Amino acid sequence: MIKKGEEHTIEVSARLLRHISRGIYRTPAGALKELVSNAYDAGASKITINSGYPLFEKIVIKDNGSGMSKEVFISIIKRIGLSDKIAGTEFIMPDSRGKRVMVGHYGIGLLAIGQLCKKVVITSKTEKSIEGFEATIDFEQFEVENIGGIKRSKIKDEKLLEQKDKSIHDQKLPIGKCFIKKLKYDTKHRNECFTKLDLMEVRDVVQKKLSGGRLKEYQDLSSEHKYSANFKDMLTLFRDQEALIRRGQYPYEKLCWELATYCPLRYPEVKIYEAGQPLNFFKKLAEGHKFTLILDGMEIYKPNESIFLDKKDSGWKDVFVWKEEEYSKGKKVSGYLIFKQKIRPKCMQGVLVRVSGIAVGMYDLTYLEYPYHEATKLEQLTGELFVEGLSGAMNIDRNSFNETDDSYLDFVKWFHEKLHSEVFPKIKKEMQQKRSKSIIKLFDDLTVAFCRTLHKKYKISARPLGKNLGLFHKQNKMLQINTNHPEGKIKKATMEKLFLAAVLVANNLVEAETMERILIEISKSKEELKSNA
Amino acid sequence: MPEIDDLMIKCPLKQDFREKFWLPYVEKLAKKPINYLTLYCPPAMDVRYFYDKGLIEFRDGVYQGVVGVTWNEKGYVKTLNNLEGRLEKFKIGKINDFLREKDKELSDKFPFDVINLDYCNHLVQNYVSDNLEDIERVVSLQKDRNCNQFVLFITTRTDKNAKNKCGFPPNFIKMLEQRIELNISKVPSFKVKYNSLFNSRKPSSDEFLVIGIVKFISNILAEKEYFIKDCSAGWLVRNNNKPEIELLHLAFLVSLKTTYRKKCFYEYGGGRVYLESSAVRILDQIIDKKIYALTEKDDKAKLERIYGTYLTRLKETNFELSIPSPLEQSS
Repeated sequence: MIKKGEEHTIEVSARLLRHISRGIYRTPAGALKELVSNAYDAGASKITINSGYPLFEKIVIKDNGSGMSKEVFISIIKRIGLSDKIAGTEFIMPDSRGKRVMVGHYGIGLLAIGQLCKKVVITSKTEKSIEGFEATIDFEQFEVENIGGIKRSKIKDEKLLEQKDKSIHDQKLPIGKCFIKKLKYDTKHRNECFTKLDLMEVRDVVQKKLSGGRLKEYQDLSSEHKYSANFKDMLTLFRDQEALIRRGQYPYEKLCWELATYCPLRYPEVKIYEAGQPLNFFKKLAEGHKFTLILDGMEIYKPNESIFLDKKDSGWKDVFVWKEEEYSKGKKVSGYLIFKQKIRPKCMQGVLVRVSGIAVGMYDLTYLEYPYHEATKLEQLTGELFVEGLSGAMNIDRNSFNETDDSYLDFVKWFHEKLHSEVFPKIKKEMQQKRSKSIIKLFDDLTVAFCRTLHKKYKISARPLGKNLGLFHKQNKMLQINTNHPEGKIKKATMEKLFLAAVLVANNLVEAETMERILIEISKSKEELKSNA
Repeated sequence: MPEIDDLMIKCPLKQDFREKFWLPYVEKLAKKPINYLTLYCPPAMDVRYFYDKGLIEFRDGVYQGVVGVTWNEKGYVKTLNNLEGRLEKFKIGKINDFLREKDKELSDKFPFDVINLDYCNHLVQNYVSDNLEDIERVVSLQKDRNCNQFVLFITTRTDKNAKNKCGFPPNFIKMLEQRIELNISKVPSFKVKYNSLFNSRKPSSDEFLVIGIVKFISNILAEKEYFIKDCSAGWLVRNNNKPEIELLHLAFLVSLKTTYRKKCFYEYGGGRVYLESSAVRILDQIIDKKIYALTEKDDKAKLERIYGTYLTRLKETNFELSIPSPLEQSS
């Protein structure tokens, strides 16, 4: 008698389920990221996602990772939250000299699928086998209800979860049924391995979210389909329409952006990554992951800020690079920060932390809660940090860290130290120098204009003449203001006062030494007033 | 019954038309790669085919120079699912809406070397036909963008077993009849050929439709000073299921008139009918028995043996990772 298939119940630890069910609606990109991470952990070099754009009725994800046998799959669904896959475990990539570090925890990829759709068909085959399996899962336990006007997912047995009885939390609860059948393949496919996910009956709320359907409820907003021939076009659209995207328009473009930021993908072909350039090290780092994502016919790559450079753009002001620095014993970090007048799109302002190439959260404008105030400089930096040894510090959603974890604290300390002692002092110094230069230039322009206007034959200029010389120094037709003198520093606030003083001296209306004494007395009086106040 | 789009993807009869009609016409242009406009394109097999023949450039994941328009979002999904990459431009809706003055996105892509107007319904339906406006506007833009020569494919249903919404409206048929009569009386070369064909018999309804529609299209072209350098026609008949569907395929090689000729037209029915002789080519085709019909009942099996493997290969390669299909369910 031919056995056609087997039925299994999917069970999840109550503790995990309770954790996941709070704020269960991450963005669709967050759920897809989970699946991409699973493919990465399986050693895939290529993953394709057919999102069903623009209707999103069905999503198909395929990867060429190691796949699973039927037995392994059954053990996973029986033990979600207790997965054999442990974050931080190293494994050797097939046909590669490189190693990958697993990102995944707990095997919760299935839960991510359950957020996206009501039904999924998982097909997988391992290498050196002519057998595979097909599993059809109904996520009956995840239902969407309209509660208080807000659609949210509701786990059945939620009341059970609310009980404070500890014994409940240690139990496993069912979230759906799974029907599995074996498949057979031609012997010519023996050495192939893959996993395919057919996400069917994509949840209404996910479809609406991605297609912008919810915006039709608002009269003044509408979602428009903007076609992009390739990912570069899409990034340009993303930059140009960023304000609208923040208001919820172009959700598909936002999805693409998020996936491109999350995933361990290659950098775009731009100059800054070429050999000999500051960021070439990171290009090699990215290439080491050997991971390609094709989304709806477009190859997705990292959205690096430099590709948005306009012709009018002045380019970088500075770049800070750290290569394999130790932040904690045996744990290294590499990273960079680019300092630039204007960073667009704005969502790239800040720092992005990556663990094994995969982003944890998005660009962080707080710089991991840097405790010092740096005004607008924070918005003029963008960069990435590639950190080892933090897999255990990640929270279950892989979007944030456990901020009490020792390794995480060491890492933050290292980073803040870099910002405080290296990055911002250098930026400030350069800005001050630039400001000084520009003020001095302004002063020079002012004197030239004044002399030209009044047809004077003398010139006034500001120059460093040494600390031993007085404030004013006359030579022939030139009156020089000594910028090394305490009263000679050219500042915007005092520029006109100094200029007036110089004109009086140049016209022999006041002696140079007398004027110097007057200016010193004025400064002293100001200081006294300040201290008395 | 499966949708026409799904039938078209695997259809060996359609593939035969591509091989025998489309490819030779495109090759007459002697140009590679081509700029290609395709309406209303869910299966996208035409794009795949031309790419496979080296006529379309595929670079950086994009079919360069290819613009597609589809009726609705479902069509959009289908087309994207059938391609290895993306079209250079892809729009949802009626091409007329995109070719109005304010929308430069599509009009800036003109001129095209090859234009495929593949209507899954009738060219002219019961209401005023947007499809005809499509053709007029497309030809107009080709002229505005100084296109000297291009290939035009038109596919339309011509079912005789029409019910309500299917079939050409009677006034359109009447108009075709009157235009043919006008050309017989006013264009000597047309009259000679026509009489030699139909001296002893009346044209069949199929022949009438072919001649009439070709004359009709030639009129649209003549308004913009284009003439038909060559044309071909053929039917694809889906008669494995009821109701039977007939699809008339027309291929035109269109050229700009290089010498000035005084435009010859008659005021007719509130408009102008241009009398020009290039449509006589279709009569040559009828005389030479080059117009034929492929039917599912008679020809599908034979053509499946010829094109089946090729179509499978063409269809199964898309942007998704290729994974093997299982043999059977193990016990």
